[in-house]
Amino acid sequence: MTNTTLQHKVIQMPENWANENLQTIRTLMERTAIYRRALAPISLVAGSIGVLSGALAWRFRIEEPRSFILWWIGTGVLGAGIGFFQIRSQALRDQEAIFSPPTRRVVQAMSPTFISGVIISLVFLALDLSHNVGVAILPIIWMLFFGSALHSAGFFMQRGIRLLGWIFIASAIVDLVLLVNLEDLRHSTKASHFIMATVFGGYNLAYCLYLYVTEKEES
Amino acid sequence: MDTEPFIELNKVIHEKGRLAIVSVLAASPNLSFTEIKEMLKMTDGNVTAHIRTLKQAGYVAVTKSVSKKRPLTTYSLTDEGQKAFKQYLNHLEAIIDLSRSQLPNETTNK
Repeated sequence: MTNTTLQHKVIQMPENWANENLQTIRTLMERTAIYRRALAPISLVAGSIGVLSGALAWRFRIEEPRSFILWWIGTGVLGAGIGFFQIRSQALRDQEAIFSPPTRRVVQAMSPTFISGVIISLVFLALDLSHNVGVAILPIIWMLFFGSALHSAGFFMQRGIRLLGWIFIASAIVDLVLLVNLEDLRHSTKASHFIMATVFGGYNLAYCLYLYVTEKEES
Repeated sequence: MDTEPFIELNKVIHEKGRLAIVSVLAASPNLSFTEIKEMLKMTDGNVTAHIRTLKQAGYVAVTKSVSKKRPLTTYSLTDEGQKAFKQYLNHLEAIIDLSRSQLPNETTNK
């Protein structure tokens, strides 16, 4: 071994040691702060439920505005319920608490916009607003609130959640522009079902695909 | 080789277990005893001993409250603790910089 090589190795020792220490610290901090549950199976199930729900609503002609609201609230509750059980089983498998600090943060970040969305939906339902305003405004409201909730949660999550939030918000704006210009769309429940299935179902499936492809690339 | 960054390394934080506790508290303030224990897979005795040392150094603050009618003790980094942790990270970075600057020219140029 030459003198230079030996000197190089001796000098590199503390550098490696310090690098390893910093890496351990970074990993620990990320594990504590970042929500790490596997999102691909959750978005796969949520997306499938969204697409299936839209198809069933079309098939069974759910066309009354009140039925439309109840149908999609039911779909949301079903999706959230199954999502919760998926998160729970992942936590049990990893021997971690379900409401770990990162999970609590994600829930806290999403809660205000989620609750606001639910309240507005209930107001629409109770006052039968969709008859006057048109049922098509609701998917826009839901997209805006859901997109905002995702964006807030994205500060404690990885894997492009904030971008997905922005995509939901942008879709709501596009839908709004369409509504302003196409009057027939405002009272078309069929079109609203299609938008709900495409956005809430399709986007979740697309996100699942994105996770699958990027995780494969990373591994 | 300049050994100053090594000498300056904070002995309280430098210990493996305490460094782990300080790291998780820096990322997530107000963690309970159980959360720290489960996150770091430490025993009750280890967490207690390390927290005691960190408390004595003034790096960790303890908050006692009641949650769901049960007493809840949470831990967080004090300002002094945050400062010490930042300094520790700076020292690690200084060690890396120092090691790189002292690499023989022949090898760095390759």
